[in-house]
Amino acid sequence: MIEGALAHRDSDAFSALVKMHQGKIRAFLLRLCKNYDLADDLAQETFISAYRRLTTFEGKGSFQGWLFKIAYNNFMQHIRSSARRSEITDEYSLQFEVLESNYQSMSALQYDLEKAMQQLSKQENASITLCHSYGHSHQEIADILQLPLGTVKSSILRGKVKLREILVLRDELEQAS
Amino acid sequence: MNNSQSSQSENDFLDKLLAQPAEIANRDFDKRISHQLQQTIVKRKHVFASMGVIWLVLASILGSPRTLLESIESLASLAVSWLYSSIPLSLEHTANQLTSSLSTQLTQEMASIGRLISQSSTTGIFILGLLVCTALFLLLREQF
Repeated sequence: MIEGALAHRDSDAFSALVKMHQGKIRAFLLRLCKNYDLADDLAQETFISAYRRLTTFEGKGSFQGWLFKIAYNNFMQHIRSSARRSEITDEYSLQFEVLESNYQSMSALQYDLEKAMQQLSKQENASITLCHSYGHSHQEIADILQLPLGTVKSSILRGKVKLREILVLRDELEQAS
Repeated sequence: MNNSQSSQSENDFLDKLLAQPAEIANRDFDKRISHQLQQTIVKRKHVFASMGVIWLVLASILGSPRTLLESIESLASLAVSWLYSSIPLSLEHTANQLTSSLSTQLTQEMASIGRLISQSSTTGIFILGLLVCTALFLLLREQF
């Protein structure tokens, strides 16, 4: 499919690739930007620029990794341009409502996890999502986020400690109430 | 020992939970992307078509201004002969006068355009070409 899209810039083959990866890219961006519409807009930009830059995909890493890299760059670019326009009103540190209607299905545990993920930093959030949710290696994540390998490893460890604490605390609070 | 076991099981539980993220709803995302892709493809075709036309014009100007002038003149003479054949004989004299004056005027205009093109330095034409190329490059970067 990737070969088809690459060789002939076949829009049908590319649409099939979009269908295959859109859920992961949008979920990744949603965890980062905490805004459903913005996540969709950034995902849309990601796929369009991936289509435009198809010929630059060298096939060294996975196609999914390449898409995540574009998505993360788009997100960072959005943050920078918002900061330049002085539009940052701590939107990325705001708590957003996890709306179950925006998910295909969601268990109570998944709901708690999404809430807990919001409390991590962008770097921790992205590293954990890419490593544990989408199965990328530490080296791949370092390449996607353009960070040193050591930073990625420590982000994952630190993030997981935070997540464990948040989830245990929430559990304890629920039991107490 | 117990502490490390409970920490291990918590970690395992967290890993399992993280490995099963909630799937986000489609909300017609695929359709929107397909639509936008089609638009991109159409835009690309337009860009290529306009690029072809601009190159054709540039090539004919850069190639030889005189050839361009000659082809315009031959087009003008074609139009004049068509005019002769379609006008009735009674009006031939008037038409003759009219077309000859028109033809002279047209030739004069063309000659002045030709002189202008010839006079403009090659550097100027190259700068024009460079500007068009830059504009096209920027346009292409935006489109693809």
